[in-house]
Amino acid sequence: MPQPIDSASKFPVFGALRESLDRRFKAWMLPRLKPARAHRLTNKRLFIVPSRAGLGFLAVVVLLWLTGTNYENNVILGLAFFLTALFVVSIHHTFFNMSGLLVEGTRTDPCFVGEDGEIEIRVSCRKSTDKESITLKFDGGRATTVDLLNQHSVMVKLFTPGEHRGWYQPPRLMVESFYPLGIIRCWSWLVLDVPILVYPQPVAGDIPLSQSASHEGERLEEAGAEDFYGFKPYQTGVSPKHIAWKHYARGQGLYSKEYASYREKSLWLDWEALEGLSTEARLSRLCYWVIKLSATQQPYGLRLPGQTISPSVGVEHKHQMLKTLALFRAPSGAAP
Amino acid sequence: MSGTERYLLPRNSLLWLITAQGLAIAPMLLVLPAWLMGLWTLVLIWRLQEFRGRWPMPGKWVKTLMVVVCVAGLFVSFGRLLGLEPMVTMLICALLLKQLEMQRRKDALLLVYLTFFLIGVQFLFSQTLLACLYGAVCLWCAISSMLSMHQPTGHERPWRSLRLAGRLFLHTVPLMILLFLVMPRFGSLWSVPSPTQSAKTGVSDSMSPGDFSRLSRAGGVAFRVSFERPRPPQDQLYWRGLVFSDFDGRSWSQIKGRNWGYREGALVNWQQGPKSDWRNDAELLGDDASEPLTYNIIMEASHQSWLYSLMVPVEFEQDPLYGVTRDFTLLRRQPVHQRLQYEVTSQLDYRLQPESLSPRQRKLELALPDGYNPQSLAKAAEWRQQSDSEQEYLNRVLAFYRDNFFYTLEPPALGRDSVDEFLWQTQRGFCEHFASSFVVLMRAGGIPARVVAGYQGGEYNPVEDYLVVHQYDAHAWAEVWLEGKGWTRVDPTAAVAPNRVQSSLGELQSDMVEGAMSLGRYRHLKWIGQLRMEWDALNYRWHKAVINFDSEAQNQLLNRWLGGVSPLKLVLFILLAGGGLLLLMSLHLWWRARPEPKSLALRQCARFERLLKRKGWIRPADEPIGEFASRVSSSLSAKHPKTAGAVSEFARLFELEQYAGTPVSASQWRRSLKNLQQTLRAL
Repeated sequence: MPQPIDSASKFPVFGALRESLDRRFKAWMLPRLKPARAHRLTNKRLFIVPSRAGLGFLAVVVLLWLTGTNYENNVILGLAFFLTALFVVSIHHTFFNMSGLLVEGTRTDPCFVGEDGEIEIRVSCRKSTDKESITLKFDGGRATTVDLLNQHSVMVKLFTPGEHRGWYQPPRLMVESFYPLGIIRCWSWLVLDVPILVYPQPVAGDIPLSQSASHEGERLEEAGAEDFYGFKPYQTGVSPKHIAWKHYARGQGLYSKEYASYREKSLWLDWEALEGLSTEARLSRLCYWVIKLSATQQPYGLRLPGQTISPSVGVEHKHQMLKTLALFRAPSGAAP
Repeated sequence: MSGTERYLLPRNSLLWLITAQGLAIAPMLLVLPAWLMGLWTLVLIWRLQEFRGRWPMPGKWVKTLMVVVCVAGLFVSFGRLLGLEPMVTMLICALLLKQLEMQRRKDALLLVYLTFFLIGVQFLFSQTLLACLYGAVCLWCAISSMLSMHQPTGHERPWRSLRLAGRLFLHTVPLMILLFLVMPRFGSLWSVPSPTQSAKTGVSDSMSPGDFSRLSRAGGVAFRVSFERPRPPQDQLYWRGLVFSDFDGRSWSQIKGRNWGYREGALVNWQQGPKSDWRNDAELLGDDASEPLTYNIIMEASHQSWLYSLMVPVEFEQDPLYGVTRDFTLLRRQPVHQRLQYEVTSQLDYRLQPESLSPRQRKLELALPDGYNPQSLAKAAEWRQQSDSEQEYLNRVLAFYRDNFFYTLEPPALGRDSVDEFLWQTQRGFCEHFASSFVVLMRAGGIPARVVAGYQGGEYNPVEDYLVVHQYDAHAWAEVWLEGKGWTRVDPTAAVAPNRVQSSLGELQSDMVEGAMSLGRYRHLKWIGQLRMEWDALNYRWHKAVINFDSEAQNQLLNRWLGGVSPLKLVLFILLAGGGLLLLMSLHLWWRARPEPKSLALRQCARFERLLKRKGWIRPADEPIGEFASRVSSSLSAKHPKTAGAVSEFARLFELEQYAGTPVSASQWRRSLKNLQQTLRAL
């Protein structure tokens, strides 16, 4: 794919011009984008212009035309006219390769803030005509190219980073194709109405156990416990096996690893236990411990202001907890 | 290598790219230096090995070395960089070397573009129908290569790229023809180098014994002629090209400029200047029977500057490049490097300089070198003395030829006194021997005489009504100056072998003058003869219609179509016609992409649902027809068993067709639905 970036760096004037055009185009186009689950690409949505390769192609045509004219050679002129006609015909072929495509967001997978959320998109057309080399790309994301050869539809997975907690609307999706000859670019911007559920970013910290229920899941600091809990400054007498040699090697002083085990009781992760932190910081720590605890077989519950989830185990439970955390006082985005 | 990620050209794209390039380069190797072939092979091997992962891409030093070798090769082969051949060679070198450093998609694109250009350059060397068809194949491959750059999985079906490119090609052709017909032609914008390396063909600028018999075996077409009136008889078709007046004892050549007095006017009268006085030397005897004859000649590239015409061209192309010499032969300022079409009007009935020759010219046309051919000179003097008039002497010499000589394509070799040896010893020869010895005899007898070289006769092609003159029709004859008659054509060959001027050598001795691969050699087979005529006619038509489609022809055509040409009309025409063509093409694309029509069963099903919907039964999208029908019929069966029966009957038909694959006819559907409709109405 021709990257406009290198020309911009080579010719600053053109670069500025291109950027300004790009800005104006986006300013004109963005308000016209209506979010929907499925978009059919029609001539109202498709934009079509010569690509950089196309401009090079036209330069060849001009060169051939000059040669044919100067040598008064009709066959060379014929070739120049052929390539001109090919350029025009190519516009139509590029357009028909794109038009009639249906782009649908079918499913999303949740992710944590800052990680890539997965969106499954179905590209389909009414008839099993061949649609080739269709590139899908979220604004600022990686491109994926699909072909529809003798098939009505194809599934494609795209990834986009979840930028904030809650229901996150993925950025504009660009559907683009240079097929058949690469000299014409046909593209469309779509807003797919398939929000991704974005969980808070997990941040490690002390376990925010419920004060009122602390007796239930009290931490037992004892030698021989199995679960790693944290570090504490070295005191003589601690077994050398427990010394954090890595820290020592980094010159961070001598620490010993602390191990703990919990009573086989339900644990309550509590919002109130994180007093003094901001909402997001609290949610991050709660999120971290939900992940941690879900890896054990211990039942755990969650207390948020106005919401309580009773202790349980299992994947379902974990997702319910994470979803609750994700949507708790979510900054924006309505549930689908 | 550079650290950037390397772009891998899809395999089928590489395949078609190499094919297109190979095809585009191949015909040019005939005219360009041989070392290109070596370079090409090396690049091809390297590229394939690299593609298979055996060899690395050439490093900086290898590349530099290759560039140095190419530049050195250019200098050794040409000694200069300007000129068409060196530039084309350079282009091909660049193309081949670029092949070895294809790193990015941009490089691959550049290669395809260079190939497009190279295909165009091919046509500078040849514009025949065959060359154009060949070019079209190259173009097709190049387009396939460009297309398959966008088919990452295309290597699974490489022919598919070719097929898709073919469709694109066919969609393009109508629009191209439109552009070809209407786009204005501007004529040369600046001067450009022409091909120079090509071997000269046809009659050369001097004549020694053996030249013409060699030429007769060269094969190929010299030019094609179409006449506006019925063509003159075969034995009148003497196509004059050059006039040789200078004899050095062995070979004949044209008058040197310095031997010509400037007082008598310029040697050549170019069309850009006024008509020279001497052009009135030709006294035209234009009675009704011999109107001047206009004819159109399409000459093949000869890389020489003389043109051919029948005796005394009166009118010819109004182009400053054309001129006529004192001897009334046509000349062009630049050698004919491409096929050339020109029109001439000739007077066949004429008297040229009938009154007198200037002393200087008389001296030139009587000159013989000292010390050559003494026997002939003595004999000529003896015969002249025995004759009462010049005409009688001439007849005596012709009779001598008729009685003693043989016409042969394989004459014996001749020594220093070639005319003596020929006349008195071997007596077997070809046209140049007859013409040369005849003129020597004439001059020795005091009659001004000269040799004329050109072509005689030609082969008539009835398919398109024109005359083909082949290289083997090359001929030499004599012109003698007789008091009161002026310059008169005398062909001693005709005296020896009258059938030579009545039918062509190709017909008389095709196995001698045509190559083993040439169709003409087998022309006595009827169908081959016919095929040969048809193919030549096709080429001729191609040239007249396409190669020679100039602004004049364009204006005529547009006048006929649009009734007058104006920029507005032209633009409207292009928009309408071009729009129409694009519309047709779009319709084709749309037709291919149209939604498939619903099957009969699905259409009947939709009607079935509509009927029930009126009565309040609605099928949710996810409910199968069978379940829907049984739901409806079970709710109806108590009160309206007939309706319930009709509903389940329809469902049975539908399932039969959809799942059991039993075809259900249209009338069965109709009956079932009609039955349902009637029972529903009764509800």
